[in-house]
Amino acid sequence: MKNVERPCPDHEKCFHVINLVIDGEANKEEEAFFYKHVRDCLHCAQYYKLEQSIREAIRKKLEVKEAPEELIVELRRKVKDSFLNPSDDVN
Amino acid sequence: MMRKRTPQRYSPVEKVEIFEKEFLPHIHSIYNFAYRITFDEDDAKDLVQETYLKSFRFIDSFEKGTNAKAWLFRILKNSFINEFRKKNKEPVKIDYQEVEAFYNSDEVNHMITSNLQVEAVKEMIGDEVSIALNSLELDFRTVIILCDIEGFSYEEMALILDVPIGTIRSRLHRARNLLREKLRKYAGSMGYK
Repeated sequence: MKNVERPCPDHEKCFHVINLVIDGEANKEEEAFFYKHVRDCLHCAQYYKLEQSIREAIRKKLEVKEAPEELIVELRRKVKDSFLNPSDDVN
Repeated sequence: MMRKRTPQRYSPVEKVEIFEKEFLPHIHSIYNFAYRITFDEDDAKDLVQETYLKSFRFIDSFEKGTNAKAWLFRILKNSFINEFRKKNKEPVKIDYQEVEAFYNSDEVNHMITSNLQVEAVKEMIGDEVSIALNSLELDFRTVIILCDIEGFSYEEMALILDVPIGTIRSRLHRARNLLREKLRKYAGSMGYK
């Protein structure tokens, strides 16, 4: 396995493919290249794990702001009003 | 997904049904995104309200059962840009060439990868990740949110942001390099190993 201290000589291509795999955008050839390569390259295997952990942190740790209930109520009211006053545009 | 199509002619009942069943379920995602690009709850509320009212006003342009979420995000993005233009505030433009030259270099890729550990990322709390994400310039922050939080495909993002797919790929690549660097610095300052 390639030593992590010596970066993978194909790392530009690998980093690109790794991100495609994680994003679900890799084609079959790219996936095959990825799975074969990370078995042998510690540097890229670590990069893959790091990218995955960052994505997971973004998905699971960030606070999700929810729309306030009064906003939803107001939107429904305006939509309903648009039918009561059809000459008025929804504003 | 958002190809040009013949405008629909929905009845009032159909319009309300589409609004309730296809548009409103995405309101929390839309609001979350609006907040992450404005950093202000009142501005986010205004932006979301404008987005939804436009979506209803132009509902005949939407084909029932298609990708409502992407359609709404595109409306929001356009509303946001227009709001900036109205206020004569241009979104901050960055020198992509300079950023690209640095963040695509061999040295930086190796340095960033080897000095930021998975364990350090796992130990970070939400606020720390949030600070790193929020400090990214708008275009970079946007693609990270659309891809990693909202789960849009590259094609969907290209249509929402009205840029080529190649631009989405390169922008994501740079954004992730920048985010890794910010997390690396933060981890270092907090003593993470």
